Amino acid sequence: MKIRIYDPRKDADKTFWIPTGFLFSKVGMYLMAKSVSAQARKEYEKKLEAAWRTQGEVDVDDLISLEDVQKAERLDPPITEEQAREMFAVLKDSKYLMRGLPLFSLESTKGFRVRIDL
Amino acid sequence: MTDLKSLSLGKRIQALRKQQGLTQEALSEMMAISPQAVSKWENAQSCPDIMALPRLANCLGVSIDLLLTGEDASATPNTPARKPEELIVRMAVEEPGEVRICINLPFAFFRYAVLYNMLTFTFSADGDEINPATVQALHNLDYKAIVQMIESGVTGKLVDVNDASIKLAIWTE
Repeated sequence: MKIRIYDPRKDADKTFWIPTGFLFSKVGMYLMAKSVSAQARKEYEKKLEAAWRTQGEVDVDDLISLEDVQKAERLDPPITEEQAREMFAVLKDSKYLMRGLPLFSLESTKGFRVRIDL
Repeated sequence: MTDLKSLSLGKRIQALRKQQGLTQEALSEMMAISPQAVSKWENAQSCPDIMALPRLANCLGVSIDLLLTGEDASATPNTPARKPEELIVRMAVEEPGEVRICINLPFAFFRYAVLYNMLTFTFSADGDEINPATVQALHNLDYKAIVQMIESGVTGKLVDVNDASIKLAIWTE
């Protein structure tokens, strides 16, 4: 799964690769749920900013902390392992069906763009 | 309904694109080409490459016959509808002058996401990028009813909200 972010202030984009299965792991689901809160997003903006300063590819160590992983391990996941397997299988088999469409795209008038492809 | 036969290729592409609820930018994104290329096709300044025709027809939801001639030689009243599993659920949310968000999910995945209550949006109501009314509009949608509609064979545009502050559309493709 490819995440591409374009920042008009820097006139540059960054690409992150995340294994699709990661979304259905305890940590992946915890981060998805956590990202709903504004406070968490601010933290992530800081982390993204730090990641941007590094050269070349982004190190996921800059984005996911040990604390995140430990918290996620303690929580009950929102779906069962079987449900996660079903969802993962469907998503993984959908590359052809998607015909190059992004799973998610955002474009603001300020020029900020995010695109997530399978 | 527009008589596709009477249109030039460019105007036919434009009519089919609008019929699908796609902007030139959205179609160019699907085709992995520039929006200017789509504009040139529609204004008869150039033609799509022959190798791009299958993909273009697919994006516009028609056969190559219909794309090129305006007539679908293979169409019969008994043509079976596509299975829900072959469809993509497309959602477009636009706050005019602010932000445009598109979410495209394979129907089989969308169904699971609804069934397992996983269809959450990673926007906070007090975020900068999207206003609370839009988040509320997305949360208020009856996604289970949408799944049922698609499973019962309803295709095309399923939700269409269009006012001064928000444009929200959900359709299948």
